[in-house]
Amino acid sequence: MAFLQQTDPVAGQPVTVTLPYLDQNGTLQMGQIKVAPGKDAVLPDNILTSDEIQNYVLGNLGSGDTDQKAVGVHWNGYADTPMMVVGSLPDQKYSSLLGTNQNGLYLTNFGNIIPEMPAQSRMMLQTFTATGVQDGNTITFPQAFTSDDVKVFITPKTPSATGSWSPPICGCNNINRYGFGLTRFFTDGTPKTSVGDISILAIGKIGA
Amino acid sequence: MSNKYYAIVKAGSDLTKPCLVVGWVAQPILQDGTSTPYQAAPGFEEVPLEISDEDWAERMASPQNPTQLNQGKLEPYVAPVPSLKEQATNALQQARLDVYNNYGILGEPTPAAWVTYLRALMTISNGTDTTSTSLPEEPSGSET
Repeated sequence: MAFLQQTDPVAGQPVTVTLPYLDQNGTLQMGQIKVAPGKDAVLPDNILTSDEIQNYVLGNLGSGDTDQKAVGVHWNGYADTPMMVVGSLPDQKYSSLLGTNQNGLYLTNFGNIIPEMPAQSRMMLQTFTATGVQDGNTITFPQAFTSDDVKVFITPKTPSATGSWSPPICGCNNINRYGFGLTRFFTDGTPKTSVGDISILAIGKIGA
Repeated sequence: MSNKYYAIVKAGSDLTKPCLVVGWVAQPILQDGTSTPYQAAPGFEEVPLEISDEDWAERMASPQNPTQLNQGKLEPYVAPVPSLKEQATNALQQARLDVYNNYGILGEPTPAAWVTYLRALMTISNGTDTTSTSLPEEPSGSET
């Protein structure tokens, strides 16, 4: 014998509840009362409904009219990449995904490897010029980097003034976060004190 | 002003004299108007600049030519005058080039005046001549 029963709840409808009680003779009786429906439940936004879960499993979640559902992701052993299969037979399509291969290298859709730049902090590239400079000059970066680990590439813009039009060979020394010392000499014998213009490309770290 | 600007010079520089600027730093000014003071790397020293945002932006976009800080003002760097020995070394390099281009490449002998000039430069450059106070006069193109 159940002492407490209720009918199956229906949204917006009262529920009939069966309760035991004692009558005036002390005899146990069963009585029924109707309980008014409560307020509509409001589900939190982060709860998935069963419909949404079903769409997710079928690959239809967020799918528009012209979209095709994805029916599976598998590992393409030939290309050594993760691959997603979309559409359905006989119109199946394949889309390689950006992922890592067995060696931990990032791959594009075409199986090419994406270069990995180990950078614990942000990198900045600065391009600028310096005019009328000569060997031994200190060249400053327009903006200081935060580490002395800076890569510098120099292109001479002014050839030799002796008439041979030989461009000077440029290099750098004493690189730090603020700038570098310019080395600049000519293979045709032009004195290294001869001035000229250079273009610089510098790559280094910024931020903490 | 949105940033506090600094010129970087070598540590221990005498700021009462022209100092070569070796770097530039812009430190952001926070909403409360303060700015974290910039701490230069070891071996360097930061010098606050009184410069507007516009002037700074123009300086950053311009060629990074050697610049010096003179009494708080920025101006083109003026390199110290090289020693006589350094001047002789540079002049010797140029003289050798001129002699080769004008005579050697043509298979002609080097004129005596140029030989004398080259030898004088060589003695200053290699330290043999320590008494000269100026460079010898360069021969004119027609001297032989």
